Amino acid sequence: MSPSQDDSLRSLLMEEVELAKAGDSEAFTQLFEHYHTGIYGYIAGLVNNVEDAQDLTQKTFLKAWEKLPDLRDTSKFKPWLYTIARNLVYDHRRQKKKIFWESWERISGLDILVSEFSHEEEIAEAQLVRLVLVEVPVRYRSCLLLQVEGGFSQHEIAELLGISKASVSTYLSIARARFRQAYRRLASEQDTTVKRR
Amino acid sequence: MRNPMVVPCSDWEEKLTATHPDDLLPAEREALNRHVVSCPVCATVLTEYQEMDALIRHSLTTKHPLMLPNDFAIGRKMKVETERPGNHPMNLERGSSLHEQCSEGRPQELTQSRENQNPFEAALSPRSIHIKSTRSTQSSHRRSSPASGGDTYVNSSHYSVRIYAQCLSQYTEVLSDELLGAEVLVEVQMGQVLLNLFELVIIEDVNLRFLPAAPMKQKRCSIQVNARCQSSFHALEPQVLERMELTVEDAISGILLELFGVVIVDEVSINSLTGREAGKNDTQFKSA
Repeated sequence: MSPSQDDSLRSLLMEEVELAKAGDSEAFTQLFEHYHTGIYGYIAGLVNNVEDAQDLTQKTFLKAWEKLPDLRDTSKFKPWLYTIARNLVYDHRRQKKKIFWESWERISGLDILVSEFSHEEEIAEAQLVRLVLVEVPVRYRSCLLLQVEGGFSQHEIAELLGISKASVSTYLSIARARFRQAYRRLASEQDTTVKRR
Repeated sequence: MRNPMVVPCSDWEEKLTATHPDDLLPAEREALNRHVVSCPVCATVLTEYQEMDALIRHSLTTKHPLMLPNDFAIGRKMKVETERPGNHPMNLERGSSLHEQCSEGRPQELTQSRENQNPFEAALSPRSIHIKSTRSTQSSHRRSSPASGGDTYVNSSHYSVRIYAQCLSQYTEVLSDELLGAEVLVEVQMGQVLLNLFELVIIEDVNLRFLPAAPMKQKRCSIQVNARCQSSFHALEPQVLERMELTVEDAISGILLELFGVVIVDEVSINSLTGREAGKNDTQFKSA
């Protein structure tokens, strides 16, 4: 996307936010269409369960719709939306602490995406990535997901998480290093399992 | 990313994670690019980061389309209406659907939206939750404020509507602690049904109660709905009222069947209000 296209999209989205704030549900539906993929990815990477991720994604937008009139700076809609998502994930973790930690276990993690992908290789790859993400501590993973799924700059991530930009940079570096390590290890384990079969 | 892992240069390690255009100043970006061109290890790491991003995005994509509930917009408007003094969330008036009144957005018939939604999910949507928080926690609700937009009709006639039904189910959709949500669902849908028959409607009372358990562990509950309505016609013929009763009976059966297994509608009565009662009704509508 060229910078001018980017600008026009941004101003279009700003307009939609203003309309939605004033009560235009169609404008809010447009915002949902634009942002839900990223929000879902961010949440899914944190909760590691498809159903919970879908549920929390919907809750994020419902809460956003409800609270939108209170949003003073509409240019901050996107980080505000991700903040809602993050808070809902934290609440979800608090409420389902036992289940949450169980869900990090590999076996349940392997089951998670079976229904989501059609091809075996795709399933295996998606499961692998999920497992790899699980091995990245939440603090680092959150930064990584905001960067990859949310498309935020390091400065924006810092504002969103209430930490310094330097910390974000360090966390991202650690997250990516952990991901690379875990990916290699788990991929080789997966290959070995397949060969044994 | 399955090749042996390489470690990037420590000086550039963090800069390599700066994937957003705004993360680095132009001079920093230029320096990074120059380094990557001259350092095959960092170039490999950068490629892996790009691969990593693509893998994450692909793996965290849901194949099931996500959608907002059709009636999502109702929640906020109801909140606004409820918080405005003298207003009530059930301000229904003929000629505009609940959705139109509530969202000011795309008109969508509530009945259509319900078809695509689990009725109980709808009942537990933020709209209902909000109402729960602003209403009495008892399972019956006395409506203190009138429910029409304001106009009354010169040659109008007034009616009371009373519905009593019993439901029986072993696997009911409604749990005992979710009665309020179910009541709100019944209330909203009955409001719509009555607005197809009358000009102005006040849903006075929706009372949903679980009764002592029936044999075979079946759940029994009773539903009572009381409403007051105003018609723009001078008086409705008894045959017309009878047809209206049948329409209401069909409608309430349909609504309750979505929530319960077996529905027995014991009573649907639409009675004409006369004299003092009619006057009282008229005053209520006029004061709206």
